[in-house]
Amino acid sequence: MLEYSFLERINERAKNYIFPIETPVDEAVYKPKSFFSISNKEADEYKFKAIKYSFKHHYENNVFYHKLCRERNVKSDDIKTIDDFKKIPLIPHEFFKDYPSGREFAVWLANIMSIKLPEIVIKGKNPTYDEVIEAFKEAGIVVAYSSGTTGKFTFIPRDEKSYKMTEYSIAKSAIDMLQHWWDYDAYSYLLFPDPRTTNIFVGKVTAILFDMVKDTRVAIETQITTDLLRISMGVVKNFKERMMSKFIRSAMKRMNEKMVDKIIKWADERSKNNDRIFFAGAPFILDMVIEKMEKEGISYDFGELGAVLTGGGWKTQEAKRLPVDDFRKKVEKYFGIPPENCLDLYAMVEGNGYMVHCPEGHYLHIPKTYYHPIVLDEDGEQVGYGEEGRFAFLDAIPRSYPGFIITADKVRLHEDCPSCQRDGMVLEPEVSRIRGEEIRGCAEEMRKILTGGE
Amino acid sequence: MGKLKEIREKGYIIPYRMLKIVIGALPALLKAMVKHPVMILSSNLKAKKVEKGLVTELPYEIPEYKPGMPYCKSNKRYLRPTHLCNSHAPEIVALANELGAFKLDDYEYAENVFNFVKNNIKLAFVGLDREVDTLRRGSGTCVHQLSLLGALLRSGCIPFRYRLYSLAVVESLYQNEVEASQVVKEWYDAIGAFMLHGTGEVYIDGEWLTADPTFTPPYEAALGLPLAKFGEDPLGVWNFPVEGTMMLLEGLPYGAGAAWNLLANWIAKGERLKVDISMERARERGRKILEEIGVEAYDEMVRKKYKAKLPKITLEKSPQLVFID
Ligand SMILES: [Zn+2]
Repeated sequence: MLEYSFLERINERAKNYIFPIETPVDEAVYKPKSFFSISNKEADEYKFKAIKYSFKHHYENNVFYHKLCRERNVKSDDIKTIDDFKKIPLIPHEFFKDYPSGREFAVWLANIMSIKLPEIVIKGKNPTYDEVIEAFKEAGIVVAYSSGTTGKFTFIPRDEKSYKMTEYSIAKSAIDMLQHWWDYDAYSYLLFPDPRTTNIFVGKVTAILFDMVKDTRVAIETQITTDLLRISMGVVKNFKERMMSKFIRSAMKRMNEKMVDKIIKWADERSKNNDRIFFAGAPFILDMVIEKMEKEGISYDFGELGAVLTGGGWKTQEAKRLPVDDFRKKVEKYFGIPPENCLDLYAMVEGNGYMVHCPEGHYLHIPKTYYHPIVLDEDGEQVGYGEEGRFAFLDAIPRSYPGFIITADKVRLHEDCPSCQRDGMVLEPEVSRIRGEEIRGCAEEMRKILTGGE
Repeated sequence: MGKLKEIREKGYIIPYRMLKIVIGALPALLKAMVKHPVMILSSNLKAKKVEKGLVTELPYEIPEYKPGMPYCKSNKRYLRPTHLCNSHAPEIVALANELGAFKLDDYEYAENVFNFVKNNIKLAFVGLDREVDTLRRGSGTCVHQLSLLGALLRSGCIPFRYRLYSLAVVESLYQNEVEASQVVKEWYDAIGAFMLHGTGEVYIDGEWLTADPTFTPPYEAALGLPLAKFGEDPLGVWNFPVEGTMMLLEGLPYGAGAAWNLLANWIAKGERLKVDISMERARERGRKILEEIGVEAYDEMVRKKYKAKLPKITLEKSPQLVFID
């Protein structure tokens, strides 16, 4: 059989995201023919070398992380096998939410980073978060963020290489599971803010979609800043912002309605031309589109030509939660896209691992070569396979910050996928939030903005 | 003019922020209630009986007031009586004297008052009433407890103020309080937070110290929380304030409790009692835990878990950052 391999196809399109292989991390990201379907043995070799290398890098180059390791009595040579991974000190996600404002915010960013900074010029006596982020961007460092319902942001700085690698990884992971559908000659609709103008993480990281698919549209064109996010979530500091908040909310609502109409019009054209289509982004936007189609009695039949990849979280308040199963049924009913082509992706701003549903059973497969999942109980002890607990991970990709992090998400990890033949660990299809942790997820923040904070 | 200033300072007019929080929380509550009329009705019918079962003996005696007992007569901010926080009430003055007002130093006295309220007053979601009502009943919401705490402190000439905010709670608390009632659960889930919580602030030696007496030790043990001490902030331990909702108030506004009272005492009394019962059962469990492990050993064990959760970072100057005005 003539096989123009998946890896070759993807690497051809993702040329701009590939660096010469110099380190075990580069190897683990660029070399494997898949993050999901290679053997555990092969994957573990990549993973061990990559994470060991990454740990050593942060141990040696990050003052604060070095101190943490010293406190926990761990040295970089202590990691001799994958079993030793449990010695690697983890950073709670709250750490990245605990930052000062103004100039000190820039100093904080500099202090959490494990690389030599370029010169960064910051103007003004009391710069806003957005201004500091812009200054870092000028110097080639992308500070992506995500916010939660209590209005605090999580900021994560990535240098150019880490950033390109994370984009490469999301593409390689997502397209792997959609191989049967993927072709460059397709049309996609990004149900997120424009990656070229936003710093919201999931919006930002999807920029690579423009290279993977011939024609990509963006649903949210307004530039979304931290201030806009905060204000539209109703966290206002003064009278002026209170007024702005009202204005933004009504403007966003109007924009929202237009957006839905535009998407339907686009689907209509694509359907007439028999095009290959792809929706990528926040599930609630597609849900709004479907609601409108339902009302107006519209439906399409894209069949195998259509694919959907949702992301950014279903972690909304339970009362408003979109059941993922129902969602797939709706997508099939109104777009004719089969459930095997309707997948969800789980990721977070702090990490560079992209867990993607397998088409067979919609389990979230974990990338095996550079990312190591851990599930902890509330005492911080690891729990066994199949037990519920808090998700944590060791992520070899980021050079700019230590990617050894405890999240706020509740998961169940299985040693093998109950539904498909791919070797390796999976999470159960739906991830929820641990109580007491605020609800977060890029989709949730978008939803708040677009619906006027309802 | 002076009167108006005082009214404003004392916080008698509901602050805009609080109004916004309360009004913002109403639609979700109404929705949750409208969805379950039968449940609310049937739980209300059982309310009387249930309420009787909740009455327990007070773990303390209220000392007798004797004329001439000293108390703070100052009209300064944070020292004078405010709405539902009457530091001149005879029972309050008598108890303040017993707890060492004007005898112990400020910190010791404040700690005594804190421990009294924390250890003796059980959390219960009753309608808002006076500090002496809380003292006679032995139970109340966090706000009741703060009013009692504040009245005792002010009576002993220690400034006190309220810190009110919306908050999200930890899983164990959610399970015990929120999930106890379907209506409360739907309400909480819709907002993603509790409408209002209060923590006290106490002014000693030029500093506002935190005092959150909300939970009794058995309840903390049942939830797996450390036993809160005077001066400790619940922030990050069991509570996560919602950004932008924090209010510092000298006193409670007039009428702020009206909607709450209507709800807790009448409309959804049965649902509220479900939560109270759930908490009472937890306290029974907690008492057993403390008896088995020992109070100090328990606290030490739990604190280890909470200690050093966040790695420390020092902000060192980076020569690569160039700041220009
Ligand atoms: Zn699978």
